[in-house]
Formats: sequence, structure tokens, C-alpha cells
Amino acid sequence: MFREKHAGMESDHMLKTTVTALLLGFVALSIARLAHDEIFKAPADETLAAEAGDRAREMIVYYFWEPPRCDTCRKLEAYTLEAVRDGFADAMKSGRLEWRMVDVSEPQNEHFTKRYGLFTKSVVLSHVEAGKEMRWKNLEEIWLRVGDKADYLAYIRTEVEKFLKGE
Amino acid sequence: MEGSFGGAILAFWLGILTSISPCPLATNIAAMSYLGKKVGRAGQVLLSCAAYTLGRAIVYVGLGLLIAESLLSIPGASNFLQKYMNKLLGPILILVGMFLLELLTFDFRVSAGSEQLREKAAARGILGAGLLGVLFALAFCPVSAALFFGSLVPLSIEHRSPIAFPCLYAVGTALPVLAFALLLALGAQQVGKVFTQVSRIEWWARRITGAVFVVAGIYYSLVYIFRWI
Repeated sequence: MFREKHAGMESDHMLKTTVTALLLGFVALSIARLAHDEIFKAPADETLAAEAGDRAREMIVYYFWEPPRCDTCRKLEAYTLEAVRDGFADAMKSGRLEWRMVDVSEPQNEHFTKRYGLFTKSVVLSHVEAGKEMRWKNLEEIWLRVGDKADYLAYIRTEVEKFLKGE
Repeated sequence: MEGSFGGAILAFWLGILTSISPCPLATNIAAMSYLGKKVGRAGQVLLSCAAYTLGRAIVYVGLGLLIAESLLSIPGASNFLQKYMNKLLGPILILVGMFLLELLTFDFRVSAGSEQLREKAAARGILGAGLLGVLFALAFCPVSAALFFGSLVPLSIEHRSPIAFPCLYAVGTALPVLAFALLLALGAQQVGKVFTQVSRIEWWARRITGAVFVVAGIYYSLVYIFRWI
């Protein structure tokens, strides 16, 4: 009886030690990966940036994102694309309007964060002429409207329409 | 009085919107389980809830003031906190979970009597809830960053309400968590009373909380450090 109890306590102790070691190992690995990513971060290279300039005049709908992609972020992305694709099919086909998704965690895209003052996933409209950006607008209400799909689609379409008209 | 009634309601509502969005779900579950674990002591659960809310309020008021005084830029603060706090949160949650599970222990040498010992343990629990509030408020996810930096801060500046609005926002972000924590604690207390097992349920509540922290920590590490999910 005593021996059985003693054996049970020993196996409990061993399980506890194993779980502790595994979890501490995982914590150490996480911290090592974090440090590695910070130390060996690739330097920013703005020349690789996905910028406009190859066409004379262009309107761009940017969706700026970075991992991880939360559920709401995926909705922002899908709804915006749907609004642009369905609402401005002709403009997109003619190349007057372009949809671009940009991962701002990539070093070559970091400058977008500064240029547009981005602080989270964002939709920005940009008007470019001869490679030069003439004006831009950050659609700041996306987060307040994403809960209502119809409202969100209408908001994006209205804003893009106004932007295309130069308003 | 600073601000306006409409602005105050909006600040509170932005807090609620933040807390019910899916992205802070893991931290909300961890907070709920931590705050509700003192099953047999409703008073202490309430004090922990208040401390948790205060912790969140301190962060939001502090950030709001630093931005209003131009000591911090919105993109700078938001991107820094989103990038680093979520990454640090994983290992921190795992370590806290390990303490709750008693896989790791601190050797607190206290020579006081059992009553004083209990008071010290309770005070530590309340301080822990406050620190948890600070930690979780700093861990901005895309939704909370958008609502706080994009809506609440401009609203506070516009209404010249650098303290009241961020506090209302903090209450809004904490309220659903607090409600569930109280329900959890009271529900478990009732079950414990029925089976005269309150202390046993408390023992389990502490372990479940520890496990929740460890799982949430692993999830945060996988998502934000290893980018696996």
C-alpha cells in the first residue's frame, strides 16, 4: 500500500518536472526566436516598394496589413475587395483603378507606415500621376463599420467614387 | 465638467466594442478565469475586478495624455505596442500560468500569523489583477488599436477629456469580462455550497486558470512569434 502510494507520488513528481521543463523550453525558444527576428531583421529597402509609377494616371486602393490576420482583419480585406471589384469593374479592367494589398511588416514596405501614419490595418486611396502621388485618403471609418457588411460596402463605394471624381 | 454626455457614451461604447471583438478573446478568457477564481469570496472577486479595471484605466489615461501632450505619436505608440506587447505576452502568460499551477514557486518567507498571511495573499491577488489589467491593456490587437488610437484618443482630445473618456473606455473594455468573471465565481460558489465543496472548487479554479494562462500563452507565442496560425 505504502509502496503504491510512493510510486504514485514519484510518477506525479516526474510528470510535473517534465511539464515544467517542456513549458520552460517553449518559453526559452519563443524568446530566442523573438531575439533572432529582431537582430536579423532585414534592412528597409524602399526601392523594392510596391509603388505606382508605371502608368500615367492611376487610382490605387491599398489594403495595408501585417500578420497576424485577425478575423475582423480578414473581413476588412474581403469586404473592401468585394466593394471595389463589384462596384468599379470597368475602372479596374481599364487599369484606372487598382487594388493592392501591402504587407507593411515587410522591410521594403515599412515606409508606407510613416507616409500614411498607419497604426493598424488600413484602407488608403491614392491618386498617382506620372509616378508622383498627388493626394491620398485613409478611410478611417472602416473599423466602425465592419460589423455591418452592407454599410461597409456602401462606405467604400461612396469614398472610392468621390475619390475618382477628385472630391 | 470635462467632455460631453454624448462623447462619454461613445467612449464607453468604444470600450464595449473593443472587448466583444474576437481578437482580444484569448486575453479576455484568461482575465475572466483569473478574476473569477476566488470562488468562495465575492468581496475579493469584486476588489480584483476593480483593480483590473483600474489597471486598464491607468494605461489608457497614460497613453492618452502622452499622445495629447505630443510626447508620443499615434502610429509610433500603436505600432510599437502591437508589435512587441503581443510577442512578449506569450512567454509572460506561460510563466504566470506555471506559477498558478505551482509548477514554479516563489519562496515567500512570511513570519506573520495565518490571518496576516491570508491578508497578504489576498492583497497579492488584487495587485495581480491590477497588473493583469495593465498588461492586457498594453497588448493592443488590430481592433483595439483602431478603436483606441483611431477613435477614442481623437474623441478625448476633441472633447478635452484626457482622463474621464479613457476611464470610461477602460470600464467598457473590462465590463463584459467582469460580468462573466462574477457569474463564474458566483455560479461556482453556488455549486460548491450545494456540494459543500467551496474550497475544493477554489483549488480547481486556480488550476484551471493556470491552464488557461498556459494555453493562451502558447497561442500568443504561436501567432505572434512563430506566426504559425
